[in-house]
Amino acid sequence: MARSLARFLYCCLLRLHPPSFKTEFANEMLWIFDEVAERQGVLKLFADGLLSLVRQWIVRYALQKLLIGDAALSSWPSSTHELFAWERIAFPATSLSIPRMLQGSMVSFAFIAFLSFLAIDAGKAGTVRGLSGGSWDPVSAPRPVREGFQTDVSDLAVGEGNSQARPGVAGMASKAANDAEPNLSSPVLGFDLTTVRTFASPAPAQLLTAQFDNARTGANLNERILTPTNVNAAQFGRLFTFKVDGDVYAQPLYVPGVEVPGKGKHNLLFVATENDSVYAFDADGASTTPLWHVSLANSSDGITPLSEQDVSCFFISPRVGITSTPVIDLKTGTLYVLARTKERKGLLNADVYKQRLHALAITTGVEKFGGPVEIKASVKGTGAGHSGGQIAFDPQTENPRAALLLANDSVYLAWGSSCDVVPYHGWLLAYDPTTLVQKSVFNTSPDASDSAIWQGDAGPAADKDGNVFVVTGNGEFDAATNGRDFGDSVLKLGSEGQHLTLLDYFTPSNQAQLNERDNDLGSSGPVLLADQPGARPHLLVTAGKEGKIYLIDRDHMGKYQPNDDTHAVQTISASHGAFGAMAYWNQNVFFVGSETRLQDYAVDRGRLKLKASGPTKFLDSGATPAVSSNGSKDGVVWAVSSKNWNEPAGKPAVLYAYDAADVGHQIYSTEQNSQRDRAGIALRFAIPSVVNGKVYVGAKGEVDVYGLLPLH
Amino acid sequence: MKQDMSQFLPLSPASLHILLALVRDDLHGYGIMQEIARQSEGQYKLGPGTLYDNLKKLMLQGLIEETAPRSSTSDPRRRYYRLKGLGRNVLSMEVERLEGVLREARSHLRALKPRRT
Repeated sequence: MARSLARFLYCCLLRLHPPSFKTEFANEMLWIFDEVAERQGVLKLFADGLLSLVRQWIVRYALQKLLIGDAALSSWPSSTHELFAWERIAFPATSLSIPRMLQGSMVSFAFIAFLSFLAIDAGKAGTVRGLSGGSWDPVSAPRPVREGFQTDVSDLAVGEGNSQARPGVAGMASKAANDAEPNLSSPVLGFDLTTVRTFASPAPAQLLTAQFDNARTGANLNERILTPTNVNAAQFGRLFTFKVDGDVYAQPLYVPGVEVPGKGKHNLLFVATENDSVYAFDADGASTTPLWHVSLANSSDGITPLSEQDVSCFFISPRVGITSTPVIDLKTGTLYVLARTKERKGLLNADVYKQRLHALAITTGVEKFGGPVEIKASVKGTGAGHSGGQIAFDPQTENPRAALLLANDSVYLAWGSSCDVVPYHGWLLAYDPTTLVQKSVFNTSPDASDSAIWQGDAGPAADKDGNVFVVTGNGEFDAATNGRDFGDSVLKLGSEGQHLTLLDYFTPSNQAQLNERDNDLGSSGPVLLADQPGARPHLLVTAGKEGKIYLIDRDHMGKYQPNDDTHAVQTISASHGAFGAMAYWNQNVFFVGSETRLQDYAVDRGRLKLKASGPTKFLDSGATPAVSSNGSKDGVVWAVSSKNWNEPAGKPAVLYAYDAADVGHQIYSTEQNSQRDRAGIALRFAIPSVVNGKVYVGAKGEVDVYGLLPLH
Repeated sequence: MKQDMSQFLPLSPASLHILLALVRDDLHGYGIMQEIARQSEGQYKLGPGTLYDNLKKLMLQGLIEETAPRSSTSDPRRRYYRLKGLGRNVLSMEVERLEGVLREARSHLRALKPRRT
């Protein structure tokens, strides 16, 4: 009985199809129904029949009518019987049977619903397109929490450069961003910094770029509050927490004494999130409400951060927006940020992916210099993803992890991959900081693939002569045979005119093996040591995923030799893997490898000698240490534990502190008094920002702030 | 004049499977469904609505055609379909295209073993 009913209903369904289709195939479809209904059930057959009905009326028949017109269709057999119900209105003499009316109603409903859907979608797309007419770009207008501020940093206190007191690095200040010699009269903002400098002493510390300076030493030499004596669980702990709207991979930056329009002078902490937000907080915690906050996305217009699905990689989850640490130019009071967005263009069009360099006023977050500018680049090459001998920058697969660099009157940006999803290349781009015009482009694998510049989120380095150093990850290496592809290499780049040019490089002898085994050399960034006595005054230290430390002569980097690594000054098998960067302070190199304890290497006559190790073993990913000191005294080494690379976030980050004079002496951990001090959920590669008596630790959705506890 | 076959590519999964089912023998609609299920080891199943929509489209494109029944005793509801020369050539080109896709996919998956970045 039930089967007979089902068969009858299926017959009705077939009769609702356009006559031409029905005539041709209904009998066969019914036959198949008879064959399979008992074995497979009827539900799937009905679903298939309904889909077929919609498809035949809307996709096939209606589109044919739209495309070729009634006249052409009318000559088709049976088409005179295929008038839609509403078309019968034109023939009032023709009466409609009830089944035809039902048929017409169903088809009309489906058709109108389909058209409405298209109209709604087109309306959305039209809104975006309409608003973006001309040069307007919805992303060009970030939404400050407080609008109407004017850019005015005339009362900005500019601290002395970090490295001015640094022994052995004299002269580095001339070009390095953090040590930048200020342009004393800024034509952009029209204020005179000379008067500011007169009352800027004693110099408050500042943190304008990742790892404190362009040498990427990780050392703040202007810390006068925190010492090995008072950093302990009795006197030091968590003071407050800044809650933000996304994960904080970028190292928080700090500028003292900024006049925020309408809100007075504050020491500002800048926090960027994976939700494409940038915040400015009172760094001393006068309030945990931000002084300003801008979103570089705009969800109401369909502009959002990317998801982990968008990048086919789970390492940064759930959103991917701002990962690389921004950089600040105090000459103009500008914070440069690289943000990623996904932009919906309607359901009928694919989403598009964008990356933009933003230039924000540090006082208000308002865009400057006509920014943002969309990242676009191409180079000649026959490598992965090339088209017609050109390789174009792919904003979806290119993943910016390495910190921004400000040097040589340029903002440098670097890219690698997300989980090695191809096609990707290592890119290094330079932009003019005041016009945001692209100045130069360098691709590390134009005739191959890969060779990312990611460096475990550490930044490219620059020396006093303006040479830029980066380290690449896995990829083909053929430079030794006149190629242009530099997998697993340390590159020294110079600017010749407007072009980044390769000056020298170092590639380990086992590069092919490193590439094959996913042992990126470029899982860490370069650290430039202070000038050394002896034949090799300019040294660079880095380490790769293999866990080996390389000490390299920056003046004669050694290029490649196949048999051994004697072209390096020194190599040390130090750990199970290295990510991020080491720190350098006062003739010591501090290293926290994967599955390894903090190691302190003394720099002695141009070589590294293991001096001491810390008591706590760091798990996978290790850490990028930071150092705080008052010149060459009161040194404290800081490090934050990472989450394991293939585990979901869940464990709390742990901040450790060590006496820099003896790292065997661990003086503090946030787990000593976890109820009071426990940090937020750990991410990867977090670098603690230690400045002006406080330690800022980025975590999942928050920045935890540590300092000396109030006296009871 | 040589026909530009790239206009037919890429084939939808249903069209691909139908053409593939007709490579060895002329089949009626139900036979095509059974052959597809066999070739895909039951992983791809077509409903009759999808089947006949695609058969109609493939006939209009000239890739297949209706052919005479095998015998006069055959069920009159059974209509047989046959792969034309053009359909065979298009199928060959689609297989070549898919081989390229597979090569690329394998290369990507090798890269995703996963690697830490």
